[in-house]
Amino acid sequence: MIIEAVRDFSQRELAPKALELDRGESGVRESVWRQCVELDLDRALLPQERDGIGLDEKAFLGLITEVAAGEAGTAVLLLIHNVAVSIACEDDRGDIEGRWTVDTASGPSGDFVLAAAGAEGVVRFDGSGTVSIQRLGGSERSIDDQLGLRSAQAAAIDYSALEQGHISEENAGLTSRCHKMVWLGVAAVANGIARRAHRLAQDYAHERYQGGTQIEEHDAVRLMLAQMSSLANSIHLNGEESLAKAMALKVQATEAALAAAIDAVQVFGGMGYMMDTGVEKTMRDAKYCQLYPVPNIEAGLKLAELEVARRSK
Amino acid sequence: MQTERRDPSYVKALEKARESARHFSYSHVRPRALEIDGKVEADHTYFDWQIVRAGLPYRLLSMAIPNQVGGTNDGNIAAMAIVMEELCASCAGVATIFGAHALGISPLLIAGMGHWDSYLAEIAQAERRGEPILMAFAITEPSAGTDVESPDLIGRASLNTAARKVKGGYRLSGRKCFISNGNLARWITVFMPLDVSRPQQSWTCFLVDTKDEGFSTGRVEHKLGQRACPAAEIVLDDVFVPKDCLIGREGDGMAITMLALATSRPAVGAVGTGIARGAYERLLAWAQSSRPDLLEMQYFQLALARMETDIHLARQAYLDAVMELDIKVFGPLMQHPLIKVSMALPRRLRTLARLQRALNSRRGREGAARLMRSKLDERTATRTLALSSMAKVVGADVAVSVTNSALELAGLDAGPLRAELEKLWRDAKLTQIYEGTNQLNLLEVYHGLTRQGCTEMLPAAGSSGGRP
Repeated sequence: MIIEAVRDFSQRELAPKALELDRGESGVRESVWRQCVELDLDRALLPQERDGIGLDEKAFLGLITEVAAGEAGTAVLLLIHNVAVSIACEDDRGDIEGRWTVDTASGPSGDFVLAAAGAEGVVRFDGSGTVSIQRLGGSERSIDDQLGLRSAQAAAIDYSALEQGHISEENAGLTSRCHKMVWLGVAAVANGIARRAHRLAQDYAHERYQGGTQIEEHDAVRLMLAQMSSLANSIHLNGEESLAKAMALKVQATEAALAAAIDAVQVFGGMGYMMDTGVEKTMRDAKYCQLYPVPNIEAGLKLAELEVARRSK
Repeated sequence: MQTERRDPSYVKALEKARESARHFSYSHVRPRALEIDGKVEADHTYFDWQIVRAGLPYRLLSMAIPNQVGGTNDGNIAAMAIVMEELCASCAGVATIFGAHALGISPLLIAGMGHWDSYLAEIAQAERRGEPILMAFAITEPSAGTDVESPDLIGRASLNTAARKVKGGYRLSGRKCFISNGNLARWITVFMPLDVSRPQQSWTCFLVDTKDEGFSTGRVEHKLGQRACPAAEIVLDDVFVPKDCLIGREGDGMAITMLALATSRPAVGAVGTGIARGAYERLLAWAQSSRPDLLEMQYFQLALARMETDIHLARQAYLDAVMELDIKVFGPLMQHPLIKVSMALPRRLRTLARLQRALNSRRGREGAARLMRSKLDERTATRTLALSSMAKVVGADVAVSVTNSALELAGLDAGPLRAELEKLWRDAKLTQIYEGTNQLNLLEVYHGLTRQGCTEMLPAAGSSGGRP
């Protein structure tokens, strides 16, 4: 039921506003976030005793895919926020009001933290196994030239300027859970992008005529549409995957999404390259899914490392 | 004497072109590429005349104009493609300003000498005076993109334009879209049917003066990339074109289009090669200065090697195509005794009104077409068109794949490099679409190479360019 409601919200509210959200037109992002809050989508992973919806991982990933099929940046905002607050609320001292982000990068650099612009809190994994929960309070510097997922606008965070936040002791379980949800969540976003790209291309191919016939009748276009369809339907997430499997699914889903988006732009021809139709946005968003939280090539190397470690045991 | 690929003077001309273009590219274009892209993103009607003026001393607006009329081209198309690669290693948008300009000139070259001493000479002279004059090439229509680039499809196209014959010339009406330089060009080579019920047979090329009554520009597109070069709608509301501004003969339009695309598609392959090279160079420089640890990693080394290999192969593909054109198509044409003698005449004789009238008369145009047919082996030309299409596809695909890889290798935390690579990634995708989508170009490869087909170039009077 909730998935159907979210699908309706995504197609009725988000998809028509995708370009405005992408451009950051005045007030649109804030208004959409408020709508998400009204639907309790910002508390999807929280248990009911914390005023949440209490979705399990599988249902949450389905929700993210539906949102992404309308607008991918909003899906990423919801993904990152929900993962952050589900961790922050483990610490009873934590105040989880407002919108949150997650910084899963190792090391002191906070040069590019997705969804940090306008966020009020950050859950940071600094690579040493500790988790830091901190309020941001306007210390972040927005990054304006982001290629994709623009409504999850990134910012640079100067951690040295922040107050010491609540620290959880070394908690491998928490770290692993967070990383896994982010990987799977990005895979879910990618699924949504692939579906949107396919739908846009299908609709256009049905309306556009070349050579006296609808372009969906041309083999070259049919092949691309068929490929997009299989890419959009090839990944299934159930939320119980291991961390390694989550990484692999992230790589697979984001590669599929980018391939589908590139072909969708190609189906549109010259129109696909213009920033009016929304189809080129699917390419940009898919590309960022390949790069976040780490680029696919690094993910592949990490995966190989995990495999070697597993075999060595 | 025919030029061969290893002819020292030919090779020297190519090296000189590369050196000059690289100097302009690295000194003027690269430092401003992101700035110009950003200005157009903020206002998509913005155009940077400053960068065009910076190119004037390098004679980039004359690279397609024969040196006999004041330009810098001695029948060498390969040089133009090499220039495009060099410019695109810095900014494909800036490169496309000059590339689209050369494409706009190409019908005037293909159709005979009737306009060389007037329009082309004026462009070259203006450039030397420091006054840039741009041209453009207009075939695409709102409902006909791929259709108007193929003799197999144009007969079924849904066209939005029509020309009609009137006393003293023609009247043109309709809209063209996505025209590079369309809102800035002084002259545009525009293609329209004279008989909408027979578009293939009546497709004709006209030279339109954008200052003439009835001409206007419409929307300027907000593009994903290659933003420095505008793509605009042009509107022709019963624009009068004098008969002297007919390019070639009535009905030569499709043949002129195919020959023009044969020369421009390898250049798009060069655009793709340049974009890929630009991404590779920037990534390597960043790794060397900021992340030398990455250069010790085998995965990074393999990725760089793959990029270098793909760039090299894409370059070979476009050079192969343009050298075939130089040596087997346009080279023999330029060696025809009539053309050599004409070009050897002093300019004051060539520009005599009587001679110009003769060149632009019906008989003069027929003569030019016959002359071209006498030297143009159509099977060779068709094969070369296929090689051109192949080069375009390969270069475009390499641009997309190399920029994809480069962004992945750099990641989101790469500082200023990220914005540069993202721009190149945005620029790359258009190469798979314009000058005919990659899919259309692959069909040309099939026709010209797999099927060993033959496209009629510059037909006999009364028929039209097309496939038998």
